[in-house]
Amino acid sequence: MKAEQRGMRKVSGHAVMVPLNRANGIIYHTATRGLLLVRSDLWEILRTFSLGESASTCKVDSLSATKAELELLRKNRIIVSADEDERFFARYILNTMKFDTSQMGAFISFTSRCNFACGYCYQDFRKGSAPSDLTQRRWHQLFAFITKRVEELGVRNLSIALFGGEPLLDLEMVLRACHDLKSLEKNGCRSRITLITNGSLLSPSVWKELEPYVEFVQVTVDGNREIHDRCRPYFDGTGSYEVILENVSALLRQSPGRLGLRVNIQPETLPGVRDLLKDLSHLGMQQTLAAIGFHGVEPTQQQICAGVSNTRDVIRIASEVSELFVTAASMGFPVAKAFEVGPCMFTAANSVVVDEQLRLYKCPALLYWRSTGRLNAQGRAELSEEWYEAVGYEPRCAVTCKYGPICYGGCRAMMPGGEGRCPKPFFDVALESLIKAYVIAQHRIGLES
Amino acid sequence: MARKEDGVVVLEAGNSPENGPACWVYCAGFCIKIRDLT
Repeated sequence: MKAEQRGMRKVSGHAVMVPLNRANGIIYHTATRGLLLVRSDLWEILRTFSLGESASTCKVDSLSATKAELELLRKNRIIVSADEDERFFARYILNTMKFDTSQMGAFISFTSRCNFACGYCYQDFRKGSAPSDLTQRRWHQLFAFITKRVEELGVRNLSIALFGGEPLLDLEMVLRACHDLKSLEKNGCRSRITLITNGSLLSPSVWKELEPYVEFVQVTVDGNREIHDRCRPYFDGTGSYEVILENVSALLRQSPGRLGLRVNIQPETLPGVRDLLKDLSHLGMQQTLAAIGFHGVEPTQQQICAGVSNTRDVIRIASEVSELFVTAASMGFPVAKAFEVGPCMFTAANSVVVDEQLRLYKCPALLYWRSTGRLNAQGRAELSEEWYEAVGYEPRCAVTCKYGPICYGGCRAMMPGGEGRCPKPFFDVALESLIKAYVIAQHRIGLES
Repeated sequence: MARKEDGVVVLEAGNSPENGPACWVYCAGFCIKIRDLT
């Protein structure tokens, strides 16, 4: 007789148990990405069964749950049959996402020029080469490529990131591209355009032009004025904090919910980041920001080439980063699901990064460094072997590790030639707090019951 | 589709054959994901 018929269940190996408050705990399922709030006594029992190397099995009757509760736990795959091999479900979900051609993502670099001189900028190969811009002719080729993909693959959601360098250094081309991309909507394809900018050129008059097209803007602020100006100066060394905060405030007043802040974290900047949260709070940005997110600084391209990994640094500040998410959420700031990092562009079949010369890449981290193809004059992609390797590679841990479905084996762009930079040590420290922060921010459920 | 049954509340229904396709994500290192496209 099968385990299910005998009433034998186990807590899913993909269930992440997160204590919340006295009344409830959270359960997050990494494969389905479902999120449940569970009364604390039942949550405790489920957690007990989920502990250990391989989760122990239990009789359904021993869970002290009502029939309706059990049904929800079963439907959301928090409890599964004791003899289920969950690798098959994980692989099904992963491949569905990875090869879903109805979704297309594209990072487009409009210029390699930038008006900032951030000390930690990962694009150090860009800085060593002659500046280049996306010309009209090349844009036509690129747009022909995107249009063909949309039509031939039946893309329904087109997700575009306007990128660089600093994309607003070529506002005219950005506007032309936005206009063209929006025209695809007549084919039933939703174009969602995100602008990733340093914010210095995003004046109210520029936003007025972009606003009909750009759904979301990401700007980076690295801390209070002192920290930010040190981390993200203009080329002449002057600070950028004031102009960015002015532009961000004006945009949010006009278009609340359309801009999110990214904060790059280094151990020495942490006090300045906490001050930044207070400054933003005084400006009332909890109500207007779309999100705020905190990320460790990544290694530069030359450091990666030299075999320098910042894995240890990432883990060292993991708890600080995750606590910042909780602090921000508790202060009323919206935070994003920073823990769902894969399948990313590197592995997704229908996603692409393009530079101004129409070279193709699998990740923005590889821009100006390791291209894996190019667009020809007809707007067709000529792809190298590395492109197919990026998409076709399936790390074993993607279906065996609890975190596999949300990281998909880790970042492979940052660790060329390797299996991928495993985020497990980071998740072991940070995931519970990241989930908690998201629930507090998104569902307005507090730490006090 | 939030559903509540006694002490279990579905804050966010997961991705499954019953619930439809998953959200699209960029690498968190480059773009904050705000909401699902689906």
